[in-house]
Amino acid sequence: MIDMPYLFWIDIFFLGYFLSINLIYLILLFLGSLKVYFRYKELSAEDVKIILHSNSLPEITFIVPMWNEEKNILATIHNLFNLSYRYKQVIVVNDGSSDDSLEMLKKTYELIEIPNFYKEQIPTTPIKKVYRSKLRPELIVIDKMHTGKYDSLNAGINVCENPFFICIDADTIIDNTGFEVLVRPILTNPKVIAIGASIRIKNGTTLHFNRVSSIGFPNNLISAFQELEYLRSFIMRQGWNYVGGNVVFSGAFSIFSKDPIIKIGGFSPSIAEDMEIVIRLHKVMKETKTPYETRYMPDPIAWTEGPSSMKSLGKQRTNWHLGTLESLWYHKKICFNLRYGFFGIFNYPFWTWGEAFEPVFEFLGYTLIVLSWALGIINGSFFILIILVSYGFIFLFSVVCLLIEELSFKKYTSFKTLSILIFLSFIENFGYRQFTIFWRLRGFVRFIKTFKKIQKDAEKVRKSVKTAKESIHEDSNLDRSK
Amino acid sequence: MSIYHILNLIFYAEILLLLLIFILIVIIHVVSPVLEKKNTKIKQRFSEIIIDYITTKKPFSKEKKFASHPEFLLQIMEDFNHRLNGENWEPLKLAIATHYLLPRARKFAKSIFWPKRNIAARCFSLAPLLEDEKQILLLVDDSKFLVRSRASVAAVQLESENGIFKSVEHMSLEYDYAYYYYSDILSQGSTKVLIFISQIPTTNENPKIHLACLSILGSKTMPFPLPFLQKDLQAKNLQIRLSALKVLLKNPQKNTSEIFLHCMNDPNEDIRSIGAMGLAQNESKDCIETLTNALKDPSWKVRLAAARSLKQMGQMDVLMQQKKENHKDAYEAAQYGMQFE
Repeated sequence: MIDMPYLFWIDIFFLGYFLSINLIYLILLFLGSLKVYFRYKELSAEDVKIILHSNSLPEITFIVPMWNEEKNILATIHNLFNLSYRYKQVIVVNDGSSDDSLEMLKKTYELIEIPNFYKEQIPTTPIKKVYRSKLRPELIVIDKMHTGKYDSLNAGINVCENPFFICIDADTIIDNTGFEVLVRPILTNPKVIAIGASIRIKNGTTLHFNRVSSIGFPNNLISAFQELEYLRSFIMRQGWNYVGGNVVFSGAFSIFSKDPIIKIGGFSPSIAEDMEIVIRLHKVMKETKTPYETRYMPDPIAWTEGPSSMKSLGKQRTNWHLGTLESLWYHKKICFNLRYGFFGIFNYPFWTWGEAFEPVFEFLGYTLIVLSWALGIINGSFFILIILVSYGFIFLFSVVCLLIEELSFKKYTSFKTLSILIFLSFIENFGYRQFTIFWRLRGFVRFIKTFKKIQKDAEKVRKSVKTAKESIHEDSNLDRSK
Repeated sequence: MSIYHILNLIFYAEILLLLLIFILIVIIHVVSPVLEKKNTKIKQRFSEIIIDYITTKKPFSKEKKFASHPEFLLQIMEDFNHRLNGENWEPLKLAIATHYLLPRARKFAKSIFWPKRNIAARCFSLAPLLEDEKQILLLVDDSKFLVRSRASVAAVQLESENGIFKSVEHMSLEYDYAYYYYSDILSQGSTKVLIFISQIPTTNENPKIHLACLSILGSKTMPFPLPFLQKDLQAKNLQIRLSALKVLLKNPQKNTSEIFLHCMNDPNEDIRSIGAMGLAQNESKDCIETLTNALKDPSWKVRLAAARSLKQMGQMDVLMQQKKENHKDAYEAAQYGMQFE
């Protein structure tokens, strides 16, 4: 046995790190389950049919950025038109697709070129053409050069004439019943500026007339693992509702109030534009002392296509982590800053400590355990026990999430699906989890490699925050003078 | 106690918890479909009983089954109420509500738990009675939207002046969905309700309440004159002026065309746009000429409204005569109007 006293302190550090993270996750899980319970109670008290019978509801705009989505786009638009909520506008933004997506839309919906009379409130790359459908006049298609999702969303916001818009991915399907019950809570509080909702994996579900008719199980193991991850992460996000608000809203389905988004200059050129905009909103609202709220609804509303190969999943996870690091770096001023309230003292630091750096510490933790075992500092049985306890915690966590699902929305109707999910939540710790750590570490490496560019973008984002603050101050001065 | 022992304990605790949760999941998964099936059967039975009463037109006599599951009865009654009205349904609804729902509603109206107050408001909205007015008014002011909105339905059906005013007041403070929800409830009220709403702007100075009233009155054509409108059409507050013009669109008065023609010279594009819409009601030479000129307006909103009005008036030739080389904007608006509006 080798005597290394400093190893004791290293052990204490790792123990403290993982204990603090897991404790916070436990608290979030508890708060998340409370939120699910309250929402479930609220749903039973509401007569949703009134929403559908109403003759004078506000119109809601769906913005669908599209890049080479010929496989999905028609189904997605059809799904949106099939929603029983009558008052909607669909804006599809073709981000320079090189496939037949735009041609398909032109043919299917008889698109007619219309003059671009929309005000450019957020600067975007020049728009090539604007179309409107002859068959469904509520469909508007914008054709522009390929610049990225953020720019497409900004172009869509310029065309949007309604106070609220929903960002939805071109491979995402919305659950009709889920959307009906979401309309009231999203539109009744003037302080709410951003709303997210639970998203599930589409792979394996059966669509009937482009509506989710049955929830099967992905026949692919990689998609199945994601199903579990989504379930866990969206229950966590419910918990964040009670502690300072969420840091990220899924890009596949999120609702924003248009005015604040225009004031902060729209989406920024980040890989995780959905996360960056939420942090920026928190930042600007806190700095200008504007009362606001962000919400995350537990209702499973949208079903999105998850990557089905290791390569595509790896790419997605690397990008997600790079985006997280970018967004946190852009707004590093928030960290431990009392000016931003609980968000600055707790949310931001936790996301840095518990999310951004988590793969690094987990990798180092694995290395330390293996090294200690190899050097004979810990014996074999102790080594196995540590692994079992930590994996047991993650397994328990997943199973509790499944229990919450069973007690509330019950989207997994077959016993077979549920059993497979439980089994997968056990085996995901052996291999899958380690791969995700590797991919996230790769995001870290990319962050370091592209740091110069990120610094430049950070400067742009800082400028947009400054402009937003000035604009909000101007507005409040105007209100006071009135 | 060493770390090894603590870890061992945690591990056993984890296994125990896991086992418990597995058992719970299995029980829930097995029991809940059975319960659901049972509940569906009860609801089906309730529906059958109600349909039987409606079709046979026999007088309502006490049904013991209704008393055992009042929450299901409420749901079924609400479903029927969405689909039915008329002489067969209304007396039956009142009889069932009086026997099984209203006593419960009176009990729940002052509950500290909002789901119970919600049930009370829903019951009252099904069959509001004058004797329950006090409790309904209490619920109209509830802090929870899901309670006060349903209570407002009851107040409007009851034609309670106090309740209607409170609902208008709430509407003026609400936002988006909730605003439109109240607008819907109030605009579906009886002529008596609408007359009362049309009188509020003459006595109340609050601009938000004033706007709410205009919004309700602008949603449909009213079967009575609106004398206060003339004053609102001259109002300095732009929102009030716009809303008054929208009411005028649905309720043409004596000098409507002159007012809309006058709007076309206003610096505000929204006013000009409503003006253009309003001119569609008069096919005089003046109106057509003004609308043709409005096709060249600097604002797209006005150009489109003008194109739409010309199309509505059957003046397609005016739209077709617009040439790209003469005025690009007018040509585009005319084309757009012909294709879409």
